[in-house]
Amino acid sequence: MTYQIAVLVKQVPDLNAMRIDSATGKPIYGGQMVISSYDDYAIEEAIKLKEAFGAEVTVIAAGPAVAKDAVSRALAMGADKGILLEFASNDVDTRVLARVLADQLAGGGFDLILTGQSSDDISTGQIGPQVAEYLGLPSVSSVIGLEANGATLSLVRDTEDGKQKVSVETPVLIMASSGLNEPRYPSLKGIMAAKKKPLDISKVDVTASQDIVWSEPFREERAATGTIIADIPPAEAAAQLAAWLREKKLI
Amino acid sequence: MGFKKVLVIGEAGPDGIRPESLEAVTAARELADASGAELAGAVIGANAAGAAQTFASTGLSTVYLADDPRLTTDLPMTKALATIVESSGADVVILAGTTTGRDVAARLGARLNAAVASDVLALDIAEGDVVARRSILGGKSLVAVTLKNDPLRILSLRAGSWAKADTNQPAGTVVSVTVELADSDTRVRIEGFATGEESGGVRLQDADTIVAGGRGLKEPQNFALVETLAQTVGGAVAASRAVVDAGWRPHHEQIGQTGQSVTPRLYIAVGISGAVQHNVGMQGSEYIVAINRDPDAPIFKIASFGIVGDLFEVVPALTAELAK
Amino acid sequence: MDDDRFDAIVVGAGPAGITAARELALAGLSVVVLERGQFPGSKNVSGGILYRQPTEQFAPGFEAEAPLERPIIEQRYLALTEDAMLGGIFRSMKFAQPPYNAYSVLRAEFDQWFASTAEAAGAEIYPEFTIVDLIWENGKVAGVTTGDTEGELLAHCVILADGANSLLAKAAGLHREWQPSEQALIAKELIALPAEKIDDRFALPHGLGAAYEIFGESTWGLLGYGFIYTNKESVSIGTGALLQDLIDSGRNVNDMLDRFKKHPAIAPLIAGGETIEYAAHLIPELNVDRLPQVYADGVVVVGDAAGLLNPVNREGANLSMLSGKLAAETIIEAKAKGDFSARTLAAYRQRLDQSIILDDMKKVSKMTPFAHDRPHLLSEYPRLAADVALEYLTVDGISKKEKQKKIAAMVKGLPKRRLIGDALGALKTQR
Ligand SMILES: Cc1cc2nc3c(=O)[nH]c(=O)nc-3n(C[C@H](O)[C@H](O)[C@H](O)COP(=O)(O)OP(=O)(O)OC[C@H]3O[C@@H](n4cnc5c(N)ncnc54)[C@H](O)[C@@H]3O)c2cc1C
Ligand SMILES: Cc1cc2nc3c(=O)[nH]c(=O)nc-3n(C[C@H](O)[C@H](O)[C@H](O)COP(=O)(O)OP(=O)(O)OC[C@H]3O[C@@H](n4cnc5c(N)ncnc54)[C@H](O)[C@@H]3O)c2cc1C
Ligand SMILES: Nc1ncnc2c1ncn2[C@@H]1O[C@H](COP(=O)(O)O)[C@@H](O)[C@H]1O
Repeated sequence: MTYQIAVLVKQVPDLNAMRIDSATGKPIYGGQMVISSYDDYAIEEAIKLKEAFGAEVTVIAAGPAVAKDAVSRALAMGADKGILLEFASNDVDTRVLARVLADQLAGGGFDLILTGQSSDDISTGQIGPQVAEYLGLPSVSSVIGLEANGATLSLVRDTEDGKQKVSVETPVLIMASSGLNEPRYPSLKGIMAAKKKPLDISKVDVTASQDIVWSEPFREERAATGTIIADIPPAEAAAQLAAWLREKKLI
Repeated sequence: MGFKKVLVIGEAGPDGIRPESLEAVTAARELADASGAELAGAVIGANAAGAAQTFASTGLSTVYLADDPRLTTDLPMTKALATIVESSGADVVILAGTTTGRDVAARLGARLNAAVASDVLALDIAEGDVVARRSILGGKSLVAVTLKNDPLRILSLRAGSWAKADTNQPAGTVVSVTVELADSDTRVRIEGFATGEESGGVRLQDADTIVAGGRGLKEPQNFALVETLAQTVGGAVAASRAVVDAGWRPHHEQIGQTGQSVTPRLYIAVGISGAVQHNVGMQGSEYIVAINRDPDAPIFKIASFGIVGDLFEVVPALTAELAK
Repeated sequence: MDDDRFDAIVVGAGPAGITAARELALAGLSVVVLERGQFPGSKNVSGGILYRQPTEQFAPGFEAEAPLERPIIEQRYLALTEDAMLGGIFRSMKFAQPPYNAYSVLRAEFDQWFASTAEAAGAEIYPEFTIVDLIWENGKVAGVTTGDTEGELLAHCVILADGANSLLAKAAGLHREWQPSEQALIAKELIALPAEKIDDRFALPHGLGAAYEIFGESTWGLLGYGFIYTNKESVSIGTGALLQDLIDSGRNVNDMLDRFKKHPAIAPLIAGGETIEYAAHLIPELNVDRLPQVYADGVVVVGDAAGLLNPVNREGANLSMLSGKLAAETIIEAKAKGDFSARTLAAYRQRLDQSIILDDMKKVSKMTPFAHDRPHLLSEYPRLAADVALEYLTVDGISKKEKQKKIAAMVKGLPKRRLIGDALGALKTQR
């Protein structure tokens, strides 16, 4: 069978190029905008399914106009169609965002909806389950292994109790986690081909929900409170630590 | 304005109620006490009766129990929980810092149109609103999320951020509830665990003492230093992401933002720098011991006892000393 | 276009490559530019001087649109000894009003803008791709490859604009290995300074700029020169010498630059500034008679890659642009003929021969060896001149007559033969 696959992709600031202003605790973004790291696994998995069984892969991003670049990159990696749901900013409650995405997905006849486990910047991990809830679909999170056999998917989840095996029939929403695969870099031909692939941009207006408010980012410096010993012979240091452990009845 | 009822959700794990659920009780009690609300609980799962009993004995007024073999995955669990929340009249719902807790909290928020904050590190009440603190930007920064929503707010916690509630309190009554589920709700089937991957030995979450090693150990085989120290103090072995990514240790030993969150009595960090993403997974430990060569390593900021020195000298000396 | 072939692939988004791509796109040919840097110009740190008149020909409207630093109103030629500086200044207020003669630019910004004009003309530009090899079809260059899967691209003609020391031109067998005596190695830095400080230290009307070329100690007396160009809020400073002389003298350019920056006459100009970029870069100094082959079946070489620049007069960018344009003209003809063989592309070389590029290079080609065989030009003479000036300007009770005698004696110290030789040689280079 050829799968109809949707991948939800978020564009985020490159955290490797970000530093936190020590005075204000606010982030200072250096580098460019990139695809949120877990989403790369989601895109790669969709393309692998396409290569193995045939699939039509639609990439969907909601966000400001620049998020188009994230969609283009996904197209360059091998996705077929791109959709940008453009609105002023990402600062809307996950329910609002999930609703926008779910409305776009509804009736699309998707067998498989792939998202990242959580986004690099705000990491709520809420969009996946909420989109699934709005669509009345099951969702499977923390997925690090996927085997497709027609409509049946065998998945491996990374949980507190170890690597959990589950199986599910499509349609389903799957949240990709690190280790699911090795995301590819777009090839030269891929990037050139992407220019010719359909990428439609539709403006959506969202109203921020009144019932939840996020503060500005801040940071809390914890001053050292414990006993720190330095510049004494290892044996001596070890003895002091051992004594401390015994005194605290930790051993 | 105060809240009427705080509902804390317990999760049945492989061996009874999950430790993360007991942390959730502590957090829930903070809120309930601060606003004079009733503190009730709910347990949703398969063969969860035992877990519900233990959960009730943390001093909860009532524990609603939905015990059904089909309640093993997010969708049916959310459905069951939604009916309980609505009938219970709760205005705050708190879920544990587990994979299921986080997923179900999000779904429930969509289902009942309630504001959700996930991965919460600390809770507060300001002007009658719940203010939840969570980390963003890969743990490098924090935000305070205010949940104004009336009548309902939903929180999922970060494991290890609260102490476990003790389970010898007067037990509240366990009230069984039945749930309506359609076949289409239960399409996800759990097949078990990948071989060799089921929680072998002590689960890190349950360990009283953890000895964790990082890149400072230089070579995989040097992890022997950490293992022998762990044996000597009777603790479990854990690792930083740097060494897990390097393939020295299995992923389920990883502590931190993208690994396990733990709160042992004693956490010994050997050759670990203490990056925020690591620390969020162990900050809740009662005592943190750090052995690191770099006096400016951030780990010393959160250490109760730190030795600035070469681990290859200090650790053997310590093991010897403790073996005495 | 038969199959998915482009008319032309350009390797390298520097001045030469962008000019070629822009001209071809304007003529309606399909052209792709591949650049290894994160963006055009990103590999070309620090700054340079761009002359308005030639640049306007290749980048029309650049004065209005391009990011430029300061119009240059003053040129200094200076010589350094261990403890003195002397030289000539030319500042003209004619340079201080439009049409300006030259601008200082930051290449990272200028190249990016220039590339955008080529894109507007219809060229496709793809950064972050390094071309590792050419693709051949029966003895003829037919494309390029990034070495990765799906990294192969075909075209009727490939334009190598990959800069000094073009690995691809060598791979194509068009170039032999260039000799150390045929390239200069230059270390350069970009040093941030507040605009006011720059205005003051270089005695400039606000927003206007100066260019210093500095010989002698700036290069340990080796053939080459140090330079300082003023930008809006930074100065570009660099120094370098012939690779051969660096090797022979066991010097390296990083030490050379540090030493230059510490010189008592230079240090005050950059004091307190923070270095924001550093790079070392080759400049070809090919003798015009030894220019490499610049064309073959399905391929042409332009700009620094072909050694087409005038290092002495600091004209690289504009001559590179010119060579790019001449190559484009030739390829447009080839497209019309439907023949991209060496026979057709030979017209590129003829265009070069008739252009100012080779005229200028011929002159330089005489000067360089002349100066090179006379190391004393850059060391002894400046030192002597400095001593003379010192003697003459020091007021110490000695009568001027006495001083003149002393000075005469100093100059006598020089071997007459060599003086005459130098003079005649200098004349020759000017013919
Ligand atoms: C999105 C994201 C999620 C992440 N999630 C996690 C996570 O879940 N868990 C996690 O751990 N990390 C996580 N990281 C990575 C984290 O940022 C750090 O890179 C990692 O924790 C570093 O591991 P380390 O301390 O072992 O190595 P390093 O940071 O390299 O520290 C090695 C330490 O050993 C010390 N040392 C070296 N030699 C000696 C010696 N001879 N004696 C004593 N001390 C010595 C050094 O001084 C240094 O402090 C995450 C990063 C990102 C961006
Ligand atoms: C220190 C210094 C100061 C200078 N000052 C001046 C000045 O003041 N005025 C002036 O006019 N000229 C100056 N020049 C000379 C001028 O910079 C060059 O002549 C001019 O840049 C040549 O242009 P080009 O396009 O031929 O090569 P470049 O500008 O060098 O461009 C070559 C491009 O090709 C790319 N590339 C290389 N290999 C590959 C590959 N394999 N695949 C893909 N891309 C590749 C490079 O990244 C680069 O972007 C100076 C040079 C130096 C080194
Ligand atoms: N603005 C968005 N547009 C498209 N997908 C998104 C967006 N925000 C989040 N997602 C998806 O939801 C996942 C989890 O994000 P989050 O809930 O923010 O942690 C991401 O990895 C994406 O797959």
